[in-house]
Amino acid sequence: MVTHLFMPNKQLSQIFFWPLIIALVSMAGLIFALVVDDARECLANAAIAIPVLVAIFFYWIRPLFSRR
Amino acid sequence: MTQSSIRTWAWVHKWSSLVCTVFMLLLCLTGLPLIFHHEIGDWLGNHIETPHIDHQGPMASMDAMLVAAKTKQPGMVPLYMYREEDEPLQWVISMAKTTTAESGFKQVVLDARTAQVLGEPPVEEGFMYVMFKLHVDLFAGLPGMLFLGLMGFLLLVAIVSGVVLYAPFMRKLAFGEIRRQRGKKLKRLDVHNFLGIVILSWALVVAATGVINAWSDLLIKYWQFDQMSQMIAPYKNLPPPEKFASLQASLQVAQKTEPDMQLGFIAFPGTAYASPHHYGIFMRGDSPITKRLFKPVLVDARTATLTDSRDLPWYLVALLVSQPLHFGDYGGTTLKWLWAVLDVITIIVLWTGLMLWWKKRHQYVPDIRARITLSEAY
Repeated sequence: MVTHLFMPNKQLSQIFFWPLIIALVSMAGLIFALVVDDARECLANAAIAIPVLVAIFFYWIRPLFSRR
Repeated sequence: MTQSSIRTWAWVHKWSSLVCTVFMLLLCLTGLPLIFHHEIGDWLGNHIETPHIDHQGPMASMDAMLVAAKTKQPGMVPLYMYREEDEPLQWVISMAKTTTAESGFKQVVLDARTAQVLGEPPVEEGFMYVMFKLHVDLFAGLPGMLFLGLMGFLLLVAIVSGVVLYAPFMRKLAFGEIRRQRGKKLKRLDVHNFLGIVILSWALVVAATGVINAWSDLLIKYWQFDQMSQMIAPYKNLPPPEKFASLQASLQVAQKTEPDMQLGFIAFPGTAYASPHHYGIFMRGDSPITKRLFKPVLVDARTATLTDSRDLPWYLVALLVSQPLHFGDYGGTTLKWLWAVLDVITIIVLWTGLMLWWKKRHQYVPDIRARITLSEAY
């Protein structure tokens, strides 16, 4: 049964859930990279790379799978 | 969120970004080559190689290096002596006609083992110099720096208001949804909102640290007034020394004062980081954080004796910690590339934002109902 014809209004917590996670992880990476100087730097760089990967995924990769 | 508060935030977002966008585009474009300034210097052939020689025994004396630099550039006075992280066997001495000169700088690169002059890289010329000046002060000195600092502050306002406005625009959209089939306008809006929110942390950090950096000259001036003046109070009415004590002996005094630290750089008497009577010898630690935090040791330039040494005040610690977070030079090549990609994404956010405003400006919809529908859509 169709309950909503259109997408219902989202709550603030729903709107900001993913942006907040991405912001916290990348911020942690930016700071962590400042205090480590060894192999753990890769971990920090990975965290900083998350916004780039998310952008690439949603802009280029996802449309490839969702074309109707 | 009420309609009127959305309208207020939209007004704040529109004007804070409109005022700074052109400058931010300039900063993003000039910042891009600056991320790789080291690599570009190498490609342009400005990098001076350290010769491979069979050297055993101690390093050359600091005094010998100073003499070599002065012989190379007669009539010039030394300003600072430092070395690049990737060339530990080189020392660079920057020089000018006077210690307060604002242009006409020279650099002499010396071999730390033999005190031989290895070369003189070009200063104040070339592509990278133009990029650097446009990025830092628009060729306008301190006023230019402070102006760009103000633009950076407006960017911070634009980012915060953009985050607030993200909510009403995303009420009916899933995260990352880009409406591609419903016209250029909506696609542009979705790309702007999506990329903007995704790079939020990085953009906030780079903008905020850029604003702090814009204040660096004033912070140094305040440090001179606040701390340096206390440290050199006994020298207040003395004439500047005419004969200088050994730099090597002064360095040994500093090393003895801070035995667990190593030499970062030396500021010669009369420069902003020293006093007319002192060598400012800046010692540093060797952990990722402490290697950026210098501790000044003031050594009397006439007698090579210790005058004072104190930790940096909080505002200079903030400045020194904020610098790598702005430059992106603290995590190797991977981080530099990430910085470059994030910089390009910022350019896309700025450009789509500008286009959204520009197109809307040219769009007049006479039908009031169509206008309401359109403005609800974005």
